[in-house]
Amino acid sequence: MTEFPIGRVREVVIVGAAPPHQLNRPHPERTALVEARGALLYWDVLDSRAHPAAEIHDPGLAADWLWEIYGHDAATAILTDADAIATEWDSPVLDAARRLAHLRWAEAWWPSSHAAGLPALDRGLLRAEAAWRTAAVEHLLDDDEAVERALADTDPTPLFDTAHGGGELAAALTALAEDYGIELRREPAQLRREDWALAAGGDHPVDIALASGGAPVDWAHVPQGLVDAAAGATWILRRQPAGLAVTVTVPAAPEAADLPLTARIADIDVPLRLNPETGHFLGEAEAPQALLLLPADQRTLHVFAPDFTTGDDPPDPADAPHRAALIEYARSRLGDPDASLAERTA
Amino acid sequence: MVQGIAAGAAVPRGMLIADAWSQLGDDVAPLSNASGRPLARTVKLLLDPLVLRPNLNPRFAGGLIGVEHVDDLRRAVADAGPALAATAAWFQLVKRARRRAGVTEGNPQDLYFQRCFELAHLHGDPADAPDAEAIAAATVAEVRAERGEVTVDRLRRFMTDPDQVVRLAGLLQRAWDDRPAPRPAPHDGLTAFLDTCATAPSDAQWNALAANGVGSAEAVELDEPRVARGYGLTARERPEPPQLGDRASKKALPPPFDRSIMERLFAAFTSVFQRESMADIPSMVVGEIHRSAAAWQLADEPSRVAMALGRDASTGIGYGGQATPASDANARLMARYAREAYVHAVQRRPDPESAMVPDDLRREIMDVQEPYLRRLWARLHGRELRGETTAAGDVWDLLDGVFRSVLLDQRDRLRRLLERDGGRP
Repeated sequence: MTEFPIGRVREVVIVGAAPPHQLNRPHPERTALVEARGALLYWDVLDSRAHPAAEIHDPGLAADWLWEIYGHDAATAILTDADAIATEWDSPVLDAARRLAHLRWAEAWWPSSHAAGLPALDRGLLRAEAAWRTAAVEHLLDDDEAVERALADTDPTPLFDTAHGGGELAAALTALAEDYGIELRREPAQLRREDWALAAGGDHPVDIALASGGAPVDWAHVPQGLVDAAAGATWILRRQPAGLAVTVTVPAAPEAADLPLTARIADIDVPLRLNPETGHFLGEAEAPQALLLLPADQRTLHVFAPDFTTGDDPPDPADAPHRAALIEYARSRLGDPDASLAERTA
Repeated sequence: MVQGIAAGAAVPRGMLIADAWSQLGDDVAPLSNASGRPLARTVKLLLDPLVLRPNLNPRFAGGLIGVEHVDDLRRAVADAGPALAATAAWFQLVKRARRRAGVTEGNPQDLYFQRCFELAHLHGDPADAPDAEAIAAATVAEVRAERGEVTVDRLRRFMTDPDQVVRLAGLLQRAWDDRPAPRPAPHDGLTAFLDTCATAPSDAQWNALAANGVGSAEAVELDEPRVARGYGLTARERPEPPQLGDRASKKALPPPFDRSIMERLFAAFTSVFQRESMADIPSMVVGEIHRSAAAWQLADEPSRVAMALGRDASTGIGYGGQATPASDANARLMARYAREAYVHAVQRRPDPESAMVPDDLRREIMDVQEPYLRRLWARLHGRELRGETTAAGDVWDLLDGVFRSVLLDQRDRLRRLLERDGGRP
């Protein structure tokens, strides 16, 4: 049974409103989203309820399919004047929508981490399954070319070697692609890089450390799959013959891409590059003497990907509390027979 | 599936259709999705225009159907069952013929659904048609000839024939020399229409806008310096007569007003092309020449009104804070743009202001009106070439659909920036 308060703000109907009539969007990092016709549907991945919260901005359009998600009675109540609903509705369409939302969440936020023992998910598998789930709910999606768009990102080749029904999915996607006139990508399977051995932080020689510190990396400031989601960045200030130097180390995610990072400490930018040997992003820059004199709370470390964000907004420590829970959640998915193909085969 | 419908209540149309559709069984599976619902295009291309026809049957229109019409709707779908089953069977045959012919271009649902419905009416079930395979193969060949290289080749030959070039260049010159003088703007009803087009579009208002020439009157400003450029319709200071052109490529088309006559027609050929509704090539070329010299460089007044509506509906939408909406449609597009920012955060897309985002993409995201009006123009142009009329009830779908399509493309381009395998354009 899922119960939701209903809020109404002008024409927008909010399922799962924060009282009295506020939007109640979960943090983006925990949001599994489906963009439906006339409404956004979102599940909080840390909330196990089957039914999504929703923002219905065009009730006329949403009326067409809302019953598929909440059942007829609850949908009618939402669209008339109820201030709360309860539903136990279950349907293949609801299930497919939820799985699609979850796959898109995993593509964006799966917290791969050596430190937490969470392998990277195969993006190809995630997208292949997402294309299949998209086709199952295409009649309620906002994008009238959603299936084409999803298929254009799909390469079924690796599926044929995947257990848990990969071959069937590949065959189904091939037929689907033909129905929509999409030529699936067929690229030679990329060799998976060896997973790096768990590399503990701070294993580089430290002669004369004058100061050091560390900070978690804000997930929202780096793209998916770059930085170990559970480990933190560390910095060390050392005296060298030419002056002071600050060295920053950031553990990379499993199978990380080689995109540059920037570490900003006080107002010094340290460019970091991936060292595939150690599985760390590493960089060093000269530091002014003044850095030593700064109080510790001003020597904060901010790591971001310059290709992803401007770095102008410092990380918000308040954003962090759900991350440990998301890592726990991801771990629970690995052993779950009901999880997606990508999670089961990771 | 339909249970507990209270007397006097209205029933979701999607629920009724799903229920009636499920009664048709496996025979219509090729027209259904994995959940057993009719495909979105089955509804859009078959059920709506050919079976339920909400334009003629208003009781079948809208998201909710009055309970007194429920049985009628069910019966309409059930009555069409044999035709739909035959359509599905033809679709399977045509797909097979397409595979044999090695055709991969285009969405088969868009290309063949309505033709298969025609075949179903002409020949019944393909199992009863002895030459079904040949008919299917001929259908594939026909569709291919209409959209494929044959047409583009004929266009190119016609437009590069030296005799024609002289004649066409003269026509183009005269068309631009004879451009009508600006007329005073009649009473402006654009905002009033934009206030209701999403919820209760008024035929009377829509027809009045076209009859009063409001679209043309609103185009007068385009000849002032930098106005058309500000709308993304030209890269020039002000619009100039187009070239006739002798080549075209789908990639890197210039803004609409800077496209050659050849490029304008080419762009339309490579999107959806329907021979029956389009003129022959010489008259299309001449028509395009006259169109280029007309207000908004469009031929029909309703299209020009739609451009003016699109301009007003997309004004003030941009990155970092939005203006006070000037109409309901404007507010709805603003809301879509605002939702897009949330979706970007949920999907972990790169910040458009980050270093990797190319200038042109960043600019289009920040000032979305330019790509919006370019795409709206291209849609309206295509509709004119196909002879499609735009009714009051179509306007909001068009205005909103173009906006959605622009935002989704921007989203895809942002995502591909970070992927090493690049993705396809």
